[in-house]
Amino acid sequence: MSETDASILSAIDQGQFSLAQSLLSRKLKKFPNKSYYWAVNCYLLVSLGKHEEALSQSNALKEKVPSDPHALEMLYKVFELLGRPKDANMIYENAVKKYPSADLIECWFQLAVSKFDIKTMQKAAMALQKHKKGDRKLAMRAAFCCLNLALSKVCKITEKEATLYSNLGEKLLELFDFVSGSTQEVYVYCKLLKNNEKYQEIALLLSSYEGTLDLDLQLLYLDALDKLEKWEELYLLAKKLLFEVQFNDFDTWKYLIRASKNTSRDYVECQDLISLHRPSTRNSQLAAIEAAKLYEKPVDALILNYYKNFSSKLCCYTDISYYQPTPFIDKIKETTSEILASSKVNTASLITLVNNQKFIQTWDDKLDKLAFIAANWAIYHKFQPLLAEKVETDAYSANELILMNVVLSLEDKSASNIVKNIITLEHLLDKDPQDFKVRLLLLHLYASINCDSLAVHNYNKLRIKMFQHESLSHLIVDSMTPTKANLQELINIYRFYLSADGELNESVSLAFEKEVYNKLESFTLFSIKLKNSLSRYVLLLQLIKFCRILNDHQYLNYFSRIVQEHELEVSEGSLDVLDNRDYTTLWSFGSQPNTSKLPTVKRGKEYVQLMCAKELLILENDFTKTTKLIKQFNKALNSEKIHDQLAQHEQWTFKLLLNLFKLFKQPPSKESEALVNFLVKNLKLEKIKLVASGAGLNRCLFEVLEFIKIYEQISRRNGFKSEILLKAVANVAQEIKNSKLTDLTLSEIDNVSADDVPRESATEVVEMIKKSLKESSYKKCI
Amino acid sequence: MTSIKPFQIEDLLDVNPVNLDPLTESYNVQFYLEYLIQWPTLFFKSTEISDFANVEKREISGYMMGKAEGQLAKKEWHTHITAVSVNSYYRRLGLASHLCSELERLTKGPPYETLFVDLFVKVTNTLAQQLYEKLGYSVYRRVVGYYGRTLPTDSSKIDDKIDAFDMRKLLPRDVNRETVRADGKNHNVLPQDVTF
Repeated sequence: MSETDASILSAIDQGQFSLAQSLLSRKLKKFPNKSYYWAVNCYLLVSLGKHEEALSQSNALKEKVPSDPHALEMLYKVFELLGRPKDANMIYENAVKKYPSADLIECWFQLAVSKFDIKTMQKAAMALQKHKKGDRKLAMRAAFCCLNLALSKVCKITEKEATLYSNLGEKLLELFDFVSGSTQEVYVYCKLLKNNEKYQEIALLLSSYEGTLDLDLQLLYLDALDKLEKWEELYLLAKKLLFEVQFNDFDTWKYLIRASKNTSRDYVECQDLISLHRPSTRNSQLAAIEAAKLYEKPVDALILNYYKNFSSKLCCYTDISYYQPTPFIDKIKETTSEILASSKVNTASLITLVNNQKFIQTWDDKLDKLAFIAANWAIYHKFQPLLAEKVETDAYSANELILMNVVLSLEDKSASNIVKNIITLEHLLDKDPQDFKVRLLLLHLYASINCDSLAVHNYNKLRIKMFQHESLSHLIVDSMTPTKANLQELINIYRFYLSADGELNESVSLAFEKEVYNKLESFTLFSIKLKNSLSRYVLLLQLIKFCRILNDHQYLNYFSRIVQEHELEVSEGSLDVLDNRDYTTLWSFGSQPNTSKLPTVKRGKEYVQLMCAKELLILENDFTKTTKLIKQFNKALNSEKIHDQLAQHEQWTFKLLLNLFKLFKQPPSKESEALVNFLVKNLKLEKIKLVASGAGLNRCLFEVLEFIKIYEQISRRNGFKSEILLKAVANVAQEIKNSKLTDLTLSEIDNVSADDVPRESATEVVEMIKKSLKESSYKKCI
Repeated sequence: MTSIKPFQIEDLLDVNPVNLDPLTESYNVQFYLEYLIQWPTLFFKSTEISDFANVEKREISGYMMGKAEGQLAKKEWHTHITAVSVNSYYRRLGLASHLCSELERLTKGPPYETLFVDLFVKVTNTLAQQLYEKLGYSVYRRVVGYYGRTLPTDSSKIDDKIDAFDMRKLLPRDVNRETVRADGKNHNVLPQDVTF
């Protein structure tokens, strides 16, 4: 690309359209037959918002079937921006048909890779292997792409199509010899065979393979023998792996036990073999229980034996719960009494007590809640000397007992009770700052009562960064209030996605080049998961909301443009959204599942669809498009699933927005008066107090503040004028400014204290909370 | 009930119980991708099966991130443990040792056949040093300022807070025991001396 060519693109991207137009005109005059410049012209038209003209010129260029890779790439981009992915792909398909050169097909393939487009990857890879028949690497790549498409959970292909692709992939490789091939090649072939249920072929190939089987192949081999019910072979292989190779793997133990039973080896022989394993490990002891289960023998004695050996390990409760034994509560209580009666204080005894309390909570039908809570605190205090002895990075196991207490106490969801529990958790962290489970729950509680600054502080203290934002940012993003500091936090999180996009792009391409097929399926899926991530969308939409409220127009334009790129999918209600959020780790303690959770709104695909439609409606002025978008907005707002995704006050503010959009984003109609009346009737402080209370009130006020900003923006651009509406908006803004609504929350938490926590520490935490609440108040944005 | 499985990049979405631990570092995606591309077999995880309220699930209890690098001619061809991490619920069960042994098993024979396995550990992390000593590792050298923010220039300026021990375990290929030494703690080097 020449320097001028680069300047044209840069001028377009920076919005310097006149400069771009003048530079481009010169090029078009000098090179009237160069398809690239005509494609750039289409790009300029799209960027200028002249979509129809751009489409007609792009179609005309498409008809000419250009073959210049730069022109194709540019035209592809234009069709994408116009929301026509099928046309975008068609330009390559047509070019490849007419000018089938390896370079051109490779360009097509690389483009598909950069877009994580699994379907097109397969098409291009097939075209390339057809073009260079007999090339082993290209055949391998095409076969992998068939496999990837057949296995894809995101491509929406039918079962029949998946079978066809698997068969096609296998056929591409049938002439190759794999006995001395690389493990990556054998992996692709075996996975295709597995998809085609050809286990016999897998077993045959892997048993005669000349190289060393890697972990992937070893797992495929074991699975094939199991599926084929080749019990003797499976028995010998599993035994070799466990006893000779020392591959101490529980799934392999399960294969061994299954094979043992199916080769008519009796129960005693199987248990004898397990007991011979040296060293005796957690896996081998659990294998003994597994064997009893499979041979339909009593498991309770073995479980008790396991308890005896592993009660001082934190995995004990989880492991035993898996086998659901007859509760041995008397034994548990006996052990607890013995430990509590002793003056010895050590980690092993403490962990045993922690496990025991979990068993008691699970098994004791008549559990006295108050006594249970008191017992947990008693254990916590008795073993406190360990806090001073332990290595800084080791967790104090008794914290988990107090977490269980907190969950039990959260049945009362009042602000003062949440504060009481916050005081308790802060106390735990004061003694043991490294316990991430305590901090995670603490941050969740802070977020639930609007203490943004403290929630963010704990989020950062947990050192959540990079890829962790994807699964954990929901803990803070959604409940944040729009302050400048929070906007910066959100921008920092968003930066992760920008760098990950680039990193994944390069790596998928490199993995193809290096033929790392056993990782590529996950690479592409991960890339797609991040691209269509629910957390990413929610973050983006929250950023837009913050920028609007805080009047940050530069960022507002930047983030709004990203939503605009999805205009077509939003208008058609076909936006792809994938949820990768982690809701498990926060509650992974005690005798799970923890049920007394705080009622939080869980955003979903429908919320994203609704919010994107909202943003597009704010930006769009073409009535044809807005009518379609209002339909989608209304549909999303009325969908059954949206109710759990919106807070009560949000359902109200979205109704206000719907009326506002109908008023300003549709041609004036008879309905206008009714719409104005609805808005005037609702835009009152009295109404706000009815729809929101507690922590929700502060959030609702922000929503109303945003509504006012939207009103100001869209009413300016439209000819419709309503004096009463203007007055109502001004009035509610003034009412909010003068009100002292959230002061009530502050008074609610005065004097809150927690048992087992010194009074002065409690007062300190309450003061900290009050400060944080003031910092996140709506008043900061007026 | 621990099983060993290959690590996949999507597992990053499920490693929170491991990576939220203050001892475990989280890196940018590129770092993990590089390991998965360059050394796909040396990056694996341990998984556990649990069942609460009749919902069976598999969770990641730990992982091993390793690589093989260095020149054989310089007697530096070795396996390196980049990260070995275990969820706190599954500690003190020998899981970290098992992950280390598995890496050792994978690289002592073909196709890698390295001379030794090594790792860096904080000078102050005596607990980890004891674990590695039990596994047969010994200190080969002290890397001055390895965990510091700036590159040091003087290898005699030791600082326990930011220094690391480079610990090594001999593998069968080094028949003459040329890659380990008994007085490793007396040998100081700079971080720039330990790149391959």
